[in-house]
Amino acid sequence: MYRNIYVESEVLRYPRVKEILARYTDASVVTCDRYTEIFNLKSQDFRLQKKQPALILARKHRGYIQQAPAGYGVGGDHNFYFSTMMNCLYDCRYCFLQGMYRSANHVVFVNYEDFSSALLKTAARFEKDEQVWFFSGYDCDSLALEPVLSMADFFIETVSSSQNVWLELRTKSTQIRSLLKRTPLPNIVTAFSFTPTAISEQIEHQVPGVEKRLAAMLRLQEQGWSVGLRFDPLIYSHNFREQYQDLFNLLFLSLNPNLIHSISIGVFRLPKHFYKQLERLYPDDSFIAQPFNSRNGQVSYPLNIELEMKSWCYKQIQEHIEKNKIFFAEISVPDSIPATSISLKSELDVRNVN
Amino acid sequence: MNHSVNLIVALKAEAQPLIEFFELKALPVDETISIFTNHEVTLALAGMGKSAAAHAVQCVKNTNQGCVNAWLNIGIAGHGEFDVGQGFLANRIVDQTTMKTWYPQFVFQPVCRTGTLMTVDKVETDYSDPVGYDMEASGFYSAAVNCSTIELVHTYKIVSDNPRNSVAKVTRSKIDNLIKSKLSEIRCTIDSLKKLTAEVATRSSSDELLHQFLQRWRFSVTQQIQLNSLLRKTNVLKIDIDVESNEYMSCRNGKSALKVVERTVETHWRN
Repeated sequence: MYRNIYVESEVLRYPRVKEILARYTDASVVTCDRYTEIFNLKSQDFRLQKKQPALILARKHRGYIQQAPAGYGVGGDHNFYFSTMMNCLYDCRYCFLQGMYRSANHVVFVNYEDFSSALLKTAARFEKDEQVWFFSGYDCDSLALEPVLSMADFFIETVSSSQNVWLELRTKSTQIRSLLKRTPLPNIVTAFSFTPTAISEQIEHQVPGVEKRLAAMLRLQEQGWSVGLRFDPLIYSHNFREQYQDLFNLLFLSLNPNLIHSISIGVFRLPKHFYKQLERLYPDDSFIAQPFNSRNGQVSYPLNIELEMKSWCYKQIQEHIEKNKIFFAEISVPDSIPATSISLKSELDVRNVN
Repeated sequence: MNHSVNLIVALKAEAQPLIEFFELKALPVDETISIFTNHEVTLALAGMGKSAAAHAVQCVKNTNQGCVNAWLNIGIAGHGEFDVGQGFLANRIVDQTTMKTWYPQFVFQPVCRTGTLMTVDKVETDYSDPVGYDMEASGFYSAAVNCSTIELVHTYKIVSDNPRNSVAKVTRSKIDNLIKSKLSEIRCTIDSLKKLTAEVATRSSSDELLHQFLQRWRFSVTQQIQLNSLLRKTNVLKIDIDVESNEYMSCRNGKSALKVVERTVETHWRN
């Protein structure tokens, strides 16, 4: 699918690079010194590049493992994230990557081994009885390019012999073959993101359908793998209750609750300057055109809608699953909290630390 | 918003077949270069060299103010490997003097081969690397990417000489034939760029409704930006705004009109 591939001269001879290039014999391959020469240029159009993104194979030199943002966790003692890839195969209109990067090209850091060493070194800082979590899929989809990159396969191997090191592979993909060929490991959670079908079809372009993702989850569970559900972002519509009720029913009546590791909920929100960039890129998009509110540098739904969605979804989900498996992906921090909302907000925040 | 594909060409022999093919008419502009145009394409006859190409970009930019511009540098080139007559789009442009490098981005399927193009100050006769050699691309590219997003800037060259065919044998009529033989590739490339410019142009299309607001009330620059953004939302969300309605008629200034639009959008969305 890639017609243009850029390769840093430094990694041209990596066996992993040769394997990737062998899959794209028809692509035009151009060598460069540093990926930033292509990726970081000012006058780029993310939306145009999304039509036909190029693949950039590069080496990361530092900052392999990052501290996860506050509120990002599913019950672990310490949370970190890492990104061997920047940008995503899919085109979800709410995605923050559109506002964060100037380029829609896909950068893959092929020195997985450096990430792996850094990951184990980070984990070694903590006691053996502490859960140390590493989240993959923050700046990309963890599995969408697995047949090409074998990234998940590599990092599952990395953490396979460490009992207190947990790995979350966050995805909207159905590329689960690398997991299915292995014996299930209790410290790996493949977390699937969902929005209701009607919303997904409207704003999650190129993403496999809800039913296909559910089928992938069921196959993983059948083999004994733990899965996660991520309702983040929650997307508002006039009939969000009906839409999310249908989605929850479909998922919870199909999945084995014992093999659901965790569920997280987070309402759509973006840093204000990312949202401004999206407005420039997609002025004709009905999702972006909604009258969002801006609070403390974040753009989101009006606070009453945000709280209503979170509390309603939380109540629905807890009918299917134990409360201690449900997490909120962020804490609402409004400029001022209306008196009527205080009790609800407190309840939500308490859930966040459980 | 208008959009245009701008061709920057060094030699008259390169320009003439393009002027004839696209039926371009000379533009009576007070510029140091000749500019030809029709409803979709503008061609500037730049003269040879990097500086001339950069200057031509600036001149065309000045005549196409407020327009979404794509840029295509067309011309002949030497090549260390390709056969004479081969057309190619540059996927890497290197300035031999500064060694500065650019990477044109393809968001369309090229109709021809792609390859590295080295911009040199003197005619290359050694063809020491398996790359193209020209005298304009780096000057053209560095100027054009300052005027447009990089996906809209490309360089198309036709090989006129190589290690087996001396540059000394390149004549005016040979150049004419080379360009004519590749008109369909050039046409396809221009069409691809046209589609992209049209897409970008629709994003910033101005609106009759905005004009009505600006005629009736005074807005500060910030308010105009807010108004533009809000009116765009009403358009996307299919909300009718009638400036003749009582609600707007009672607005005494731009600020209050802006508030009414804001309220209308929120009310519509929540219901």
